[in-house]
Amino acid sequence: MIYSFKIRLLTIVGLVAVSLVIALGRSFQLQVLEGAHLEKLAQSQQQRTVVLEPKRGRITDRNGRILAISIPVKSLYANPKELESAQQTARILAPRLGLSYHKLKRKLSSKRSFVWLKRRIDPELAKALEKQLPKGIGFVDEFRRYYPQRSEGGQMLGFTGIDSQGLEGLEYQYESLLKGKPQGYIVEKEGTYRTVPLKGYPERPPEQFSLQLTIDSRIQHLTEKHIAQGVIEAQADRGTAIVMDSSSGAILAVASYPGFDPNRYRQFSRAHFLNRAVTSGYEPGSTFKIITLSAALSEGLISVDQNFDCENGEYKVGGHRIRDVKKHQQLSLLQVLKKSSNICAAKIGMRLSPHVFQDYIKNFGFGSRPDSGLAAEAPGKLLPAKKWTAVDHASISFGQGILVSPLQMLVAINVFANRGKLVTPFTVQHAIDASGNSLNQIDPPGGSESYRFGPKESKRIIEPQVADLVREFMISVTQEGGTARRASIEGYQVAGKTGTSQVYDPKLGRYSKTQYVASFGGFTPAKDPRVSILVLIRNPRKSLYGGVVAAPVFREIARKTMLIQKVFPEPSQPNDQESIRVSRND
Amino acid sequence: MEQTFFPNRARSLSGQFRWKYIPAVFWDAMQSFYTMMMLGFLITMGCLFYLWQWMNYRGIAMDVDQLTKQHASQLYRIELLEVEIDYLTRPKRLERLASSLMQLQPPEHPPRFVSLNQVREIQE
Repeated sequence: MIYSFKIRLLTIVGLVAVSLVIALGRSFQLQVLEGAHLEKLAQSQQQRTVVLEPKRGRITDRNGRILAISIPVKSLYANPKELESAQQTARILAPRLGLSYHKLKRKLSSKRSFVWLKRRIDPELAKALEKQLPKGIGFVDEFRRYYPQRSEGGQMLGFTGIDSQGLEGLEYQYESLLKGKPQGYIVEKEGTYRTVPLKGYPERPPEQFSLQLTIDSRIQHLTEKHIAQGVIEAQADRGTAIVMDSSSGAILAVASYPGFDPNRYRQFSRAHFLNRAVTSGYEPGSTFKIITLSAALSEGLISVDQNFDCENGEYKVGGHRIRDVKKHQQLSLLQVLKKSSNICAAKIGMRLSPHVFQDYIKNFGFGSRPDSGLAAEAPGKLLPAKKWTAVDHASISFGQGILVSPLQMLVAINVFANRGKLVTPFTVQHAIDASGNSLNQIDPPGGSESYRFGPKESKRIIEPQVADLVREFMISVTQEGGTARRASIEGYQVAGKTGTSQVYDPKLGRYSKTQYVASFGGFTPAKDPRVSILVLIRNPRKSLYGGVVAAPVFREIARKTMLIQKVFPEPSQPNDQESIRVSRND
Repeated sequence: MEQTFFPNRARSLSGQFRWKYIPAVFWDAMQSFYTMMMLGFLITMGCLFYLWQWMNYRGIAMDVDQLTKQHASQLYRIELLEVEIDYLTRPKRLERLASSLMQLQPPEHPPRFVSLNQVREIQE
């Protein structure tokens, strides 16, 4: 009996001991051997990381008017594994989302656990769908880039892609600043689909920068309007206009026609996206003569009272003929610019040695990027001086055989508005961080190139006396007998220079006889310049001349910009005393 | 005679702590029902307190989460209004409305603002 009891007791003790050993072994296996793996599994079931995508920074004009902003929208996704019936869900959703039934069904039958159904859907549709979402279908909050000014400034601003990445223009140029860095935090999942933030919860939205531009939307609007009118009236292919603050170099407007609406960029071809003010090159033609004249004057090779023989409209250089539009015999230096003689400009340019002339051209900013902050700036093309033939030398003197961007040309013209100082243009006034602080410089971590905003230092490239003299010549261009009478504005003195250049046709291997670029660049008021403007019209068919097609566009832009800037017409100008009104404030 | 946990301890070492006697202290304490009750009570209270704090923390964390989301959504609404204002007051639209509804056109000849002295000079 005792023996039997002992056996039973030992058996029970043994079984308990074996069970304990098994339990301990299993627990060792789970806790130690597979512990790390199981912990990960548990975490994936109980916790998830929520990634806060930073809202892309906004872009505003100089007065704080929004040019580009990200607004919250909803995107619809599906988890096909959780769907009750892909067929039925597709039948319900397809008409509401405007998608084809078969395409949607194919998406919903996918073996993946996440598929996008439609991104950035209409807010009203999202609201309606939210009330009766089938199981396995959900919304994700995303941002959509919106450009409230529509097509105005489109080429300058550029646009973003479906994942809010900058693809063109300033959006691309300042991608790293505008986009910011995503920030994640961990949440624990609860029963009723609720989540509880556990750690790393961000105190404020992830950091990104906003940009305040130097652009003035009002001036941008009138520039776009008048360049469009100018191109249409001249029956031209396209046109570009730039308005710049003369003293600081701040770009007030950049417009190219035809433009595009960045909200609907998919509907336009790539050619519409180009900001031709900085990306494309053209041969400046006669506007370049002011560079030739100032270089020769600075070197003391010509004088104001000198006369030049214009060879009665035709002159031979290196076996090539150079012609003037009108035949001239003897012209003074002022008349050379006023009448825009190619022959005399070539003669003046050829007095300079190629290397010296090239140094002046480079000092005016040609051959290097203007560093304005606009995207895809082209440096232009300047043939090295040692390769210049006599024809090259002569034709560069009157602005052929050299490729410049419209912005480069405007910067060069602006030198005469600043009494010989070259002012670097800029587009971004400052960046604004997430806390609202204005920054003029940002050094991104990782030693990449730092961003600098605002005005830059100007440098003297010609003597003030030379600049003032050329400026007087430029004023005469817009007066009676000049090539740009149509650029003159009642009550304001305008200084400028017209340009009509031939376009090189690579197919023909020579300059086209049908394609021209007509331009006018200048500044006003001439004695105390406030704005410098360049207008360029490509392939005008109504008239070829800058003084006819580009100068009136300049006049309209300049006149209205002056009023916006509260620079009113001066009564002391001759021929302008008829319509004077007395200000009651005075 | 009262039994101690340190029967063979030298007098000179009586104040010195010995780790090896800790289990014995626990065993001694476990002999007492009241001590065990007290210990159990304290542990239970501690657990309850911890649970209470944990629940509080979760509640507050959820409230913060909700408020942050509400705050963000309000900010977005304000921003949307800003965008709407900028869209509605864009120069192109204002010009069109002024032209079509109020028959206003941009000035062809801008107004001149001169002082009375300048007028006198002109008249002379």
